[in-house]
Amino acid sequence: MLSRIAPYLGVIALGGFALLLPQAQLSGQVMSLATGAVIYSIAAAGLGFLWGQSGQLTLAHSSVFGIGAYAAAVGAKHFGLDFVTAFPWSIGLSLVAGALIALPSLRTSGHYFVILTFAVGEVITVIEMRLESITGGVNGITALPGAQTLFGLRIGGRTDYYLVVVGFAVVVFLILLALIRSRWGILLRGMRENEDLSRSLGVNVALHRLIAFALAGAVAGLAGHLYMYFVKSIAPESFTSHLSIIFLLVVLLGGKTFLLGPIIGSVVYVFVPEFLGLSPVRSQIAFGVILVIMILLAPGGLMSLPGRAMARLRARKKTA
Amino acid sequence: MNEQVTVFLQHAFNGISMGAVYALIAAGITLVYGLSRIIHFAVGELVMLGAFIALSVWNWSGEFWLGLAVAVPALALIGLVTERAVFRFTLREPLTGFIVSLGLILILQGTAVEIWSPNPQYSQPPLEGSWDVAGVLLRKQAVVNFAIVVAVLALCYLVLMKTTFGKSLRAVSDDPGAAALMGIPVRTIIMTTFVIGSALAGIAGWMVLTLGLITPFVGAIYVLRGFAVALIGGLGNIQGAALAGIGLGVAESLAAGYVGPGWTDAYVFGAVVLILLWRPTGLAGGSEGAKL
Amino acid sequence: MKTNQIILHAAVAAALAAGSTAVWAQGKKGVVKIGINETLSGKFVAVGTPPSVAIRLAIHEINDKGGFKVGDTTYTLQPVEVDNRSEGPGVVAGMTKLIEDEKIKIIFGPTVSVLANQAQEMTVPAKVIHLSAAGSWQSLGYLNDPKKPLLFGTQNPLNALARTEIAAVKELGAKKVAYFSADDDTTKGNMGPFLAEAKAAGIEVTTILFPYATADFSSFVSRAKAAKVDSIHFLHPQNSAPNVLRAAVELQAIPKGFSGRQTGAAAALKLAMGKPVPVPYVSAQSTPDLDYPSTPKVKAYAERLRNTGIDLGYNVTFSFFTYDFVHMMAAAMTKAGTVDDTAKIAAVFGSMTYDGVAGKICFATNPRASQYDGTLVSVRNGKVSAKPVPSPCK
Repeated sequence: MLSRIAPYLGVIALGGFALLLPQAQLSGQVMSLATGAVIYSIAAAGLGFLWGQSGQLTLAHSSVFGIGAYAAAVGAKHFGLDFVTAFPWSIGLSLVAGALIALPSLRTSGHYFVILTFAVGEVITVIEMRLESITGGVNGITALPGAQTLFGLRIGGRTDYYLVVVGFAVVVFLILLALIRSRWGILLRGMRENEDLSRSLGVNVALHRLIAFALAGAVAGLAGHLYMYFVKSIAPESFTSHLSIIFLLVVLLGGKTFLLGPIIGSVVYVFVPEFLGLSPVRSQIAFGVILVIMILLAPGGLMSLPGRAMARLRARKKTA
Repeated sequence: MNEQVTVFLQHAFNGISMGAVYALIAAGITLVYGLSRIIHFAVGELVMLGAFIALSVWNWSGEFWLGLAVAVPALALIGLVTERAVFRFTLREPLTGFIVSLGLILILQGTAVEIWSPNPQYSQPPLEGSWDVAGVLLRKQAVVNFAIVVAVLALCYLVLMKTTFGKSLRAVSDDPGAAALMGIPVRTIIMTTFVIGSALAGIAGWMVLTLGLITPFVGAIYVLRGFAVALIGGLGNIQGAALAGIGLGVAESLAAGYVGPGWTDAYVFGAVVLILLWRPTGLAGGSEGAKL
Repeated sequence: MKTNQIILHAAVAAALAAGSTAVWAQGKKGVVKIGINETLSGKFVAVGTPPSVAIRLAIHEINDKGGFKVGDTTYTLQPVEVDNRSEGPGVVAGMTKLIEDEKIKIIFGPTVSVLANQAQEMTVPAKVIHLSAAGSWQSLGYLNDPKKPLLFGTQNPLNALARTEIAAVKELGAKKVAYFSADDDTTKGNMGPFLAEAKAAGIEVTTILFPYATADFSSFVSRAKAAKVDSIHFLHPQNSAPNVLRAAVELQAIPKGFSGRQTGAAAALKLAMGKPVPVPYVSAQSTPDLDYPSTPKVKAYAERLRNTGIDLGYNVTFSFFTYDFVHMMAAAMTKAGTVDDTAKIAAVFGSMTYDGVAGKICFATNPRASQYDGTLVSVRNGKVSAKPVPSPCK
């Protein structure tokens, strides 16, 4: 029984710890960085779920994240939607976008599909730049809806918004955890390992893959929505494939099969350059090196290292 | 000659010279892919490095052409080093190679910014002016660039078709397992294609420098077009890459000359999406995508 | 780039500490913090560095003279700088630090439009006086917005810029000009005023927009030639101007010559072809030119900038977007008699005329954009001449 609920308790405990963080009287800058890190980790968790569970990789994830952000911004700017009422749109549109991106995967596979998602991402960027009347073109769109609250927390407040974002993160991670541990999760992993076998067992591979993509899209869209209310102004530049590579890095750092991997990944990504005083250029080089090393030497990510070390120790004991 | 025809030919020529650069980059992409099945996405950064190395050599020596002479072997060396250091470990799992190349983008671009600063750098190639052919002005540098591309691609084609090395290379591309059984040194041949592919990017980089302005971020323009061309031409197909490269160059030029730029990028990538949907492994076929 | 920054700080401090003989006024003393949120690293480092260096130069000069008086208190300025890394989240984190942690009331930057749009979202509700040269603040109407009374644009109003540009076109004697610019919002904001001024001057315009990252301009130049223009006027990005100029010369498309905004003499003298181009060339500058100074004040300022030992590169004139305004702000605080009532300071600041390096400086009312001296820099047969365009301020 305990082993069944332990992971859930872990997520809740981690969330509780994150919620207590503001008590430490950290500077506004650290709180801002922390908010950004949590938002990134949500978006990356969507990608991690897709990649780790169903084995599909997409470079359009940043574009879907952007669609969520644009939906929130356009909703606030042109349709008078607020933080809460814009959610159906940001999540809904990115869910549809995620599913649409999945459609080609039914025909192409492997890295042809990855290139295709890359091209789709570029097309979405061009559309964001050209539909000026809606998106504000290259300058992007700035939306600062008036004072809003959620459960008494101010959306515009630094610490309050951090708490809101952490709250959403806990919910998202709990849902993803439940899905990973559900029968559907097992089914996805089965498809990942042997598609033909799954198909011969009567599994509708296409449908389940589509659902996984839609789910990852919805999670990215939610994160994009949170991102928009965090930075308050967005532009197509913010959502190019470069950001997808960053998400990929964040997932890979933590480990793609570990639900909490993206949290570790994004904390490392956001805070380490700050603590080391690395310039963006130097940290870009450093993360490039880390990406190459991780994929070659520890494709399971940082989270897999303790397990691997344990396994090695055990193996050594056996031989001893 | 009819004035409108002259204008059309002018746009077409402008496009051919730019398309030749795309063709060169795509040929490198196609060769590397054909043998290793690795999508080497950092090729735009290799082009950028070729341009900056040529620029540095030119600034140092005062000889513009020496830039080309140094950039090509320098890039060949970078190709060799990256293959030995990372890509050779990814041959079993080509997707890993792809992700490695994404990491290389971050590394190479960042390193270039550290060395050469993020500011734009100018070049003034010594070959200036243009030849007037029946009212169509052919910029001298563009003509020379085109001639170089034709010579280089023809050489690649001849080597591929007529030499023993070319035969082994094609054998590896068709069936690495069988080629290995026949005693062909598969790993060496794959390593060589990485070297050749990088060297081609080096030539392309020098040509990008002749256009007048480079920044460390210029790679993105070329990797996208290079892959679009390689895909349209069919991954693994050099002639296809050459034709598709010229085709894209001319299409872009005509769009710029008559329509306006707005959605050009969307057309290019839209075409990639449609082609991949219609022919899931690129126009000229090629292999099935690797499993993830 | 962190090391660069440290070197930058050290260089400015060292250059200015030499010969510093501050005579400290007797009586009460205070410190006013000036916030700087700029792109000191990342993609736009070339844009953000000159304004940032100029602010610190101005602050040192003010402090070296013993500060400025407000009532019976003598204040010095203290720069607090954050590097936004050319990224949106960096802008937000930096502004959070400046506004909430440091409680700063006067903030400069960022200069890059997209980032400046984000930044003002945070400064407006905080009632902070916020200055930036971002063109988008004008084209998006922020500087006309009565709800944003503390935003100040430190570039000339767009229609004044357009007038200077048309003066450049006229200098060439051109009648039919191709308007070259990247296909984006910056262009859209600037194109309207330019077209209106061109119409008034009887100049015919063909607009030719290109994708921002264009490498080869042959096709666009050929298009201009097919439209039978006699010259090209170039708006932005300034980096691409030499490239277009060379293509236009080689394709024999501009019999009357080439003009550009803020493209500088160097483009025609060296950058395009390695030697002076064989066609007439005029750069319409919204600022004085530092290589060809029109007044002794500008000359001395160029010298002081050089003495910092920092290479500010192609965008060195961007230092005018901040330098005089720091001095002007100190004067405004003295006149307003307060250092923390931002509404009062802004009212004085927005209505005063200040005699600065860039000539007489004052703010237009709608938009709240500053006006100061511009320059027409002409290059003919390799010879440079500079003609000042005086500001309309009295």
